[in-house]
Formats: sequence, C-alpha cells, structure tokens
Amino acid sequence: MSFRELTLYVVRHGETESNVAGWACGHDDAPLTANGEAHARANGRTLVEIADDLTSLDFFASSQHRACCTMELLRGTAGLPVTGYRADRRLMEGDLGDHTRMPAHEMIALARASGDSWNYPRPNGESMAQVYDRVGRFLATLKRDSVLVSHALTSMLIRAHYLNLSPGQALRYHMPNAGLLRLSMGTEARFGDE
Amino acid sequence: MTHFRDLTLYVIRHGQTEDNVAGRWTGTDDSPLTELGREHARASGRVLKHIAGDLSHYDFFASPLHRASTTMRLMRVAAGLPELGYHADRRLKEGDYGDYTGLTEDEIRAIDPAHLATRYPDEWHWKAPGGESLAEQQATVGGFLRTLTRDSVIVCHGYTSRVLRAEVLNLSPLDAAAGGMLPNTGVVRFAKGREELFPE
Repeated sequence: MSFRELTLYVVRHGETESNVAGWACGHDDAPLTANGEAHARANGRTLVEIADDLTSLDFFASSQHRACCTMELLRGTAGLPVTGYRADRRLMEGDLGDHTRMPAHEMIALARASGDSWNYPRPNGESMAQVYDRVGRFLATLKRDSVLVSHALTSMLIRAHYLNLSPGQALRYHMPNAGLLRLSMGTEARFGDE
Repeated sequence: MTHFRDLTLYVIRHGQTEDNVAGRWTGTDDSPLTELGREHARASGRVLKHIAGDLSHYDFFASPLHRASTTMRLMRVAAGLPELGYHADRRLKEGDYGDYTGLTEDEIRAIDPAHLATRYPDEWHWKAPGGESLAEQQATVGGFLRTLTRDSVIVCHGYTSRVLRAEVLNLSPLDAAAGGMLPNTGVVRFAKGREELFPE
C-alpha cells in the first residue's frame, strides 16, 4: 500500500526557546516553552475531534527530545498511554551542520544565495534533497493511518512527498508550531491554527 | 585556549531503556526509559552531587536524543539543580547503526552473518550498512570536545561514551576498542589523564 492512500496527521513540535530566540536548531535541541507545551496539548485535543478511532492509528515521532516531548504531551492529552509510539531517526530535522545555532533568517539566506536551495549542501550537514530522500524512505514503511510528530523542514517534506510537489512548490510551505496538517485522499487540510 | 584534556569531565550514560532490556541496537532512533532507567538517572544525579560538590562551575551537555535529554533532566533535579539549564548538542548523538537500527544481534546475524563476523578484531573501523564506524563517530565527538571551555558534565550514550573516552585518554583504536560501554547508571570522571568510575 502506498502512503498516499493513508491518512497522515502531521504535527510539528511545539514552540521552543530557539523558535522564540530566532536561531536554527537543526540536530541540536532546545526545550519547549510553556506555549510550546500548550501547542502540543491542543493538538492532542484536535486529534480526538477529527480522528475516528485513535486505536487504529500508528504513532511516530522524530527521536529528538523536543519532538518526543510533544508526542508525549499530545498522547497524554488525547487519553492515550504516554509511551506506545515509535521514535524514528528518519523523522529528525534537517541537519544544519556548521550552520546549527545560526540566526534562522541567515541560515535560509545562505541557501537562497547559492541559487539552489534544494541541493545546497550545508557544511557537515544535509541538503534539503537528502532530507527529502530519507523522509521518503520512512514514509514507504507506513502500513496504517499515522500521526507523525516532527519538525519544520521534515513536515514540509512529508507534505511535499504526499502531494507530489516540485522542489519549488515544496519550499514555499511553512509549518507552524501550532495546529495540525491532515493529509488524506490526495488533499490537505489544516486544523487548530491559532 | 583550554584543551579538553586539561578539563575535568563527568560522563554519564542514559538510564536503561526498553531497547536495552530487549537487546536492541537503538542507534539514532529512540526508545523510552524504563522505570528502572528513570531511577538510574536520579541515582547518577545523586552520585554526581556527592563527588563533584558545588556544581555551579560546570557546563552541562546532553545528546539531543530523547533518552539522553530526559536522563539529563531527571539527573539535574536529583542533583538539586534546575531541570533546564543544559545544552543539547548534535555531536553527542549515539552512533548511527544504519540498516541494523532497531534489531537485536541475533536478528542481525540471521540477515547478515558474513558482515557481522567481520566486526572483530578491528571493531573501531567496522560499520553497519548505511551507518557509521566508531572511528567516524570519534572524529565527530572530538569536534564537540574542542568547543569546551570549562569543566563539564556530559550525558550521552554507550558508543558515544566509548569514543569520548578514546579521545580524552588519547587511546589507539586497539586500546579504545578494548573499553566497553558505560553502565546505565553511575558517573565516570576524567581528570588529569585518568579515569575513575563512581558506581551508584
């Protein structure tokens, strides 16, 4: 079964201290703020409202701390056991390498200045194309409708795979900390936006 | 400029996880701490406070993988510190086991016996398909260690602690490979070119 025939509930981790400060976290980590914890709980309530049967869903998080914390808050709020999800390396954020902890706008400007944001190789990190490929390898393993808790770039690339977007179309999407993106029947819908 | 071999480093592994109990190679996936694992983390915090005394002069670093950052937070509270106030650094992640991620050694032997048999004697340069070797991970962790400016407390992983030890004690690959993993609880202190294990 192709993952495009499944329903995917895509969630970004809640707001972190680095989101507030405006620096790019990549494979480092920063703790969720109180706002970020509220984002995660709100997505747990949203999921209860829009999903028919939570017990029929698989749950996957990025193995990074901020994503697992978000998953555990979401599951607890949805009335599920806090653990009971899988944490998968292929859902980790893009590795920004030497650009980790750089102001986010500078990090993005460097990729744009290269003329090819998709293939721009971050020094000691990953290109967007490499992240796209590993996210695709993960999506190919899915067997049931799933909840996927990950990161800004990872979520953007899950959406790009699902909707079969070109790199240019893919990169125009911004995944916020709040709210949930449902991918189902070839289309997208957002829930719980602030 | 301070060299990391002149610093005092306290190194702690994450507490026991469900994968540890099952014998699975977690790598850069994650597996939840068991109840015993959470107690391991708290015990490490009590040991740290006992042997280091005043912790206000130390920097604190954790791997950004969930089991290590969770261990850091439990450990800090047990040591009488605020739960937050540490850095999570990507270079402290566990080694990447590639296609063997999530498998037990028996499962790996069943699918790839010939490659698993090449692991010794040169374990330091062996790697899983699509993964990284201990030598490669040592270069990454060395890059992290060269950023340290003060005595530090580091919470990381089994393989990460092995390559960190090799780098701090300046061991040859053969001597480094002879060193096993840290237990899931207790603290290792590196100071003045020597190591000492403080168990729970």
